[in-house]
Amino acid sequence: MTVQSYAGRAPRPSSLADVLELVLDKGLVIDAYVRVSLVGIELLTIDARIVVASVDTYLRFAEATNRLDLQAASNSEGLPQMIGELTEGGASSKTKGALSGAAEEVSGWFGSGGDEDDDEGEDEQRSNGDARRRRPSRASAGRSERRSRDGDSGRRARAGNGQRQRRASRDEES
Amino acid sequence: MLCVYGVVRSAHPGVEVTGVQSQPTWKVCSGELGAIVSEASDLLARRRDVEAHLDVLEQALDRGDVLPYRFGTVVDDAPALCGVLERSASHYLDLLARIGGRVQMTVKVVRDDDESVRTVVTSDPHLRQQVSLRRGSAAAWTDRVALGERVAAAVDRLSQQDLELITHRLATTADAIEVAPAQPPAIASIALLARPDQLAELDNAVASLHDTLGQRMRFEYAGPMPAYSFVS
Repeated sequence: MTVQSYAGRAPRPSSLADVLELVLDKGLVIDAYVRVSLVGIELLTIDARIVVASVDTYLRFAEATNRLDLQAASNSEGLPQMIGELTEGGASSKTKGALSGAAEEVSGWFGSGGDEDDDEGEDEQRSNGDARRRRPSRASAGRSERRSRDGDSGRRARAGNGQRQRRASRDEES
Repeated sequence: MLCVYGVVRSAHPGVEVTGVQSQPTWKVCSGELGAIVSEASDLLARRRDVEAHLDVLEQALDRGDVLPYRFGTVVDDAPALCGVLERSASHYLDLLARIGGRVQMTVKVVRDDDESVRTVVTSDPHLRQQVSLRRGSAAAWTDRVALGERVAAAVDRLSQQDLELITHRLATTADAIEVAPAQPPAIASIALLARPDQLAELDNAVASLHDTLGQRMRFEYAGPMPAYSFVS
């Protein structure tokens, strides 16, 4: 369970990005004067604010539900077992459905069969984060990563790129 | 070139701190208004210069009312600046009356995604069932995306509710409030215009929001600062 620390009031926003948002985006402007030297920076801050709900965002939240499972198990021992029992009846057929769905997906991307295994190996070298997403056995590593928030989000961003690259290469192949 | 920091009333005593590029500051006056300026050449948004801009404006605020210019605003010379002050005098005087005696406080609301996911999934039996069926690496990619989309939508709804509570509580302790979207994981950047005698109440409001929502939201609370967000 996360209990956030509350530091109280600071004299200024703590990050340079927040300060820049105040002094570059807000405040008076003199229309007739162009601030040539700052144009690049303004573009950067505007870029950073563009937020698009994307597949990567959804995958990130799906991934968060995997971590939720781990936390639930450590916080309350009775409940996950109960849920497991409740869903056990339907679980095997659901899993099967999901797996055959995945197979269809993969064959859709690669045409008929092809070099699926080679591609998987490449993925793993390119992006550990993505491999972690597929393999529950690495979940314990994911948990320790949570302690360093920055490190984790950097990893996620790379994983996201991996996903995009792979989709792009699949598009080229099909 | 003159770098301009802010507009003050001509009776404002000015500031003593140095400005960008370690240049001394002074006041250029025109009628009822004045502007705090310093010499500048080839100004870039370097950290120390951005901080110098803040230093000048914060001291100006300590000594009276100030309308902050954006960082990097430059004019050719003092006569050009006087022209600007004359042309915009009524606008600037209106703004000074509006923000007079007040300061800006900012509250950035940052969401803890994992904790928000936990809240929405555990409180919604239907969603919990979806998660138990579709989570994990065994699920098809499309199923995981669909699940993530549902969870993201539920988390956004929760954040929207939280944000309504936050803005409602903060608005009652300030004269004006501006809520702007922010880059994730932040969900909003809130600017408040408040009188100094309202600050203790505002401190309490932010602390109580932390008590209520602190498990899934972090509050980055800063100020007092010049009214950057209320002068446009």
